[in-house]
Amino acid sequence: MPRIALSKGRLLEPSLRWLEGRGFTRPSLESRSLTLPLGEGWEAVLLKGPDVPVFVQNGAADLGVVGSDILEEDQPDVYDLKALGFGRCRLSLAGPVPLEDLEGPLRIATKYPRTAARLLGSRGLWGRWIRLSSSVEVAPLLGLSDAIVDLVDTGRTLRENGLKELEVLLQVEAHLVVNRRSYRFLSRRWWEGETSAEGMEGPGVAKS
Amino acid sequence: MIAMGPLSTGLWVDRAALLRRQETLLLERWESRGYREVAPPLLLPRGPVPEEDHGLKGRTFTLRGEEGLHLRADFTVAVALMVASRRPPADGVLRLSYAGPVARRPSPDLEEPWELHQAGLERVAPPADPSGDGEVLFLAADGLLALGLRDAVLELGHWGVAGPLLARLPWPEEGRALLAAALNRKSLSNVEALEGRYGSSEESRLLKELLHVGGRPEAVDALASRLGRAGVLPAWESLRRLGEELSREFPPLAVRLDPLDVRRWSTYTGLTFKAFTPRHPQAVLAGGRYDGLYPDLGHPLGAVGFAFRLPL
Repeated sequence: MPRIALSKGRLLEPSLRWLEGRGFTRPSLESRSLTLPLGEGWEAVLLKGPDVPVFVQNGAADLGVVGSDILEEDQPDVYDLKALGFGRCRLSLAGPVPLEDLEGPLRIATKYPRTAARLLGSRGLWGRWIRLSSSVEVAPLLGLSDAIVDLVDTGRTLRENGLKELEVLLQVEAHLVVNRRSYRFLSRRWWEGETSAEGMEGPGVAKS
Repeated sequence: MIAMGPLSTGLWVDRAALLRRQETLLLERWESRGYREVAPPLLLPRGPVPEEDHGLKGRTFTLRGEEGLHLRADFTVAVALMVASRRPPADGVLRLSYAGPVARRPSPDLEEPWELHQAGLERVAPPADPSGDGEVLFLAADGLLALGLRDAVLELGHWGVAGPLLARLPWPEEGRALLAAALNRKSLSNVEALEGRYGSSEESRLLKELLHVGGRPEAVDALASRLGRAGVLPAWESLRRLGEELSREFPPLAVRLDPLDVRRWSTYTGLTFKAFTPRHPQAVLAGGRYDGLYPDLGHPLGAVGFAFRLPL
């Protein structure tokens, strides 16, 4: 059965709306089952965001909807065919004071150490990375780090933890990713005709 | 309780029997076409070939306490080291086949090794020998059918279409590497973001156009004058011809062309190909031409080859 992996959390609701717009049945979320029927012979599997590309890369799901922050960080071996236009936010550097007011080597807490190192390194900033998996915003408040690199939407969580957005590093939104095998065998309707990938098609058949 | 090592849980009875049957079938078939089996070493020395240029960097495993050795991550380098140590003929053709396990990292950041079984062949000859591509590609197609994979899609690419464009791009090295990764993921949005960061040029616009039209041969043909001005039209035309010959020779297989098959830019120097089936999540076969490896070992030779991932 063809399967699409969806990220739980803030991307789930817009992902289900996007699927509804493509003619699929909206599944009930009341059950605790992690696989949900979508109609048309398809099912959805609900996963934590970083697990979506793992399932897709290894063929346990054909398609996935995942934030571009995770694609940047993990660089999975999947096709990244379409920016979906929802789940928009930004990956930003934030801290209690401007960086120039700090002395000594920076300590930066983040869920995205590779992306942060690359993006800050290209700006001439280097630091010691502290990898966290949640509640990153509290790290400077408790003295664990000098600054953070994290997703920012409205900025309210930053403000409530005494942090300022110092620099936007990356614009983030939901992307449609496809397993390399599935790309060859799924209908092209999945990645035709929307957003920046308009008109993109899979490899053409050389024979009739 | 048994503590399992990370390398592999091995192949239990039925899968082991299937592996042996498929290996034997392929090796005998290739032997009948003049490809003689070799048994390359599992342990290889670090150093003889530049690891970054030949797909080894970040993919190999060093044995603890043996920093000068690594487990073979594929057969290509292992076979090349064997050939290089035996004074290969400067004007002849070597046809070699092999089968066995390889161990590699799925990505440079991951510590967990994967053990895979492969069976494949290498055709080593002076690089100007043009007949090797078709010979090896046809043997790959023949192998797919021999294994009963009649629903396979065999996809062809050519470094000579996109490689020179990428190499000429007036961007810093980091930008070119990011663009290669974006093309490999077919991510038009990332390509556009990189153009925004490093600047648009004729090369980046042409690469974007090729990505946009995907592998529709007629749409790529429509770009012929621009490909011609960029000096990459001959590579596309040779890929077209090879695809048509393959389709005529192997009607059951779906043959597709992908001008932006940029997997392992630093390794391949010409034709690349891979095959997929609906039942296998990864490519069941991959290969291509790499003319940079033997010169790195001091021999003016080129090579083209492929490997199946077994059992299938």
